[in-house]
Amino acid sequence: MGQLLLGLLNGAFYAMLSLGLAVIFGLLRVVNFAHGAQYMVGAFIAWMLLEFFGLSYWWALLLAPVITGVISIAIERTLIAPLAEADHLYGLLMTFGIAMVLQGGFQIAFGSAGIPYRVPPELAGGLRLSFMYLPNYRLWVLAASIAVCLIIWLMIEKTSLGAYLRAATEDPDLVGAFGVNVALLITVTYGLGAALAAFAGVLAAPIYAVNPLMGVELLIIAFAVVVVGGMGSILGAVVTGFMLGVIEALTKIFYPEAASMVIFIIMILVLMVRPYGLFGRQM
Amino acid sequence: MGEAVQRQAEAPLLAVNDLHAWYGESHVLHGISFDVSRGQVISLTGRNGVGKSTTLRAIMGLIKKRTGSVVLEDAETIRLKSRDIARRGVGFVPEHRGIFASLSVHENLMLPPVVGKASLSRNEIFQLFPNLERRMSSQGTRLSGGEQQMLAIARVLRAGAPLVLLDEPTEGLAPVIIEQIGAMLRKLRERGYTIVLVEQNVQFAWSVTDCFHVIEHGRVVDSFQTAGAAGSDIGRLKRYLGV
Repeated sequence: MGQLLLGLLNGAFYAMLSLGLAVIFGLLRVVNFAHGAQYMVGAFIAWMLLEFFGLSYWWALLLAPVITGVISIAIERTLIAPLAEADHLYGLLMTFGIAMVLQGGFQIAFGSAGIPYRVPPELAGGLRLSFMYLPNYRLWVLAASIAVCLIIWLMIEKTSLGAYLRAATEDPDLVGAFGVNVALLITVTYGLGAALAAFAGVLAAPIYAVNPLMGVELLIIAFAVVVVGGMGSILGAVVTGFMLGVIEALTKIFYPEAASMVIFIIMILVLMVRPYGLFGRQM
Repeated sequence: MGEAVQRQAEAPLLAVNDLHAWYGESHVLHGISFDVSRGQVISLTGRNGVGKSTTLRAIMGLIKKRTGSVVLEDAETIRLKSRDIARRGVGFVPEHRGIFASLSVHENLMLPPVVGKASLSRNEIFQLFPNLERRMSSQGTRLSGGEQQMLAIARVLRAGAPLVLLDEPTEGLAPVIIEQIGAMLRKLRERGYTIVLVEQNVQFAWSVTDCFHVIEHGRVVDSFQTAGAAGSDIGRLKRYLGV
C-alpha cells in the first residue's frame, strides 16, 4: 500500500510533465527536449525567490510558472517559431540545444550538487498510517498535481481556447483559414506547457534537491509516458503517467532489479502492438 | 461623386487576375483570371487535377508560393496570410469538408470567429439545416457525409462571411442529399451571398450558378453565363468535362 502511494506520487510528476509534452507535441509536432530543463528552471526560480527575495514556497508556486512561461514564450518566438516551416526534426534539435545550454548554464552558476529547499512549514509533519508514514507534503503534491491535471483537461475539453487547440492539432492550416491566429495559439500553448513543467519543478523542489540535471531522467520517462499514452493525447498522458508510476512502484516490490526499466519495456510492447499509443488515434 | 459611387457598385467583390501557384517546384496555376460580382454564384469546373481546388486554396492564402493579384473589395490580398483573408469576410469550405474529429458538432459550428456582419444566428442556422439541431452534441465526424457538408457550410455562415468558397460540396453524396444542398445554395443566393463553387457535377451546378469558368491546365479556357445559355453551351461544357 505504501509503495502504491509512492508510485502515485511519482506518477503525478510523470503525468504533469507528460501532459505539457503532449500538448506541445500535439500542436507544434515538436518533441520538446527543453521540457526537463523548464522543470529544472522552475525549481531553481523557487529557490532563488526564497534565497534572494525571501519569497515563500507559495509565492514560488505562482511566480515560477509565470516567469518560466514568459521566458519560454520568448524562446519559442525567437528560436523555435522560425523553424516552423522546416522539418520537425529541426525543432527537436533546437529544443535539445536549448536544454543543453540551460543545464550547462545552471551547472556553471550553481554546480552539480543538489541545493536543498525546505518543505513549507504549513506542510511539515505527516500522517502515521498503519502501513506507512505519509508526509503531508507528499499528500499535497499528489492532490495539487491531480487538481492541475484536471484543470488543464477541463480547459482543453470544455473551453473555446481548448477547442481551438484541439482543432489546430488536427489541421492548423484550416483553423488559420477561419481567421484564427494559429501562430499566437502555438506560442501561448508552448508557454503554458513550459509553465506546467515549472509548476512540477516547484512541487519537486522540497522532495528532490534542486539540481541542474534534475529534469534529465524525468524527461526520458515522460517521453516514454507520452509514447505509451499516445503522442498528443492529453487524457493518455495523464492516465498513463499515474499508471506507469504505480507499475514502477509495484515492480520495486516484486522484482526490484527491473524497476528502472519496466516503463521502457511497456513502451516497447505498446509500440509493437499499438504504435499510436493506448489513447492515441491512428494517423 | 456620383461616378465614384457607381464605380463602387459595379466593382467586383472578388477579382482574380493572372494567378499563378506552385506546390514545391510544380507550377500548378498558370495565370487564372476571373471576376465575381456581389451576390453572384460562379462555378469553376473542369476535369480532375486541372487546378480548381488549388485556385480556391490560392485565393484563401493556403498556397505558400503564389503570384498575381487577388483583389477583395478593392484591397489586394495576395500577400496576406490566410487568417487575414478570412477576417476580410471570406468563408472557406474545403474539399472533404474539414470537420474536426476531436470537436463536437456544436464546437465545430462555433469554431470560426465572426468575420462579417452577415453572421447567422443559431435559429437561422437551424432553419437552413434542421438536421444539425438534434446532432449538436455528437462528435463532428459521426455525422453522415451530407450532414458534415451542411455543418461545414453552416460553420462559415455563422462566422458571417459574405463570400463563400465552396469546394466540391456534392462529392460522394447521395442524389437526395445533393438536391438538399442545391436548395440550400439557392436560398443563400436569394439572401445575397456571393459564392465561388468548385464543382464537377454540371447538372447540380447548373441549377445554382450564374456563370461557369472552365479550367484546363491551370488557366481559364472558357466562360459563359447560364442565363440564356443555348443547348450548344451545355454540350460544350460537357465536352470539356468528358461526360
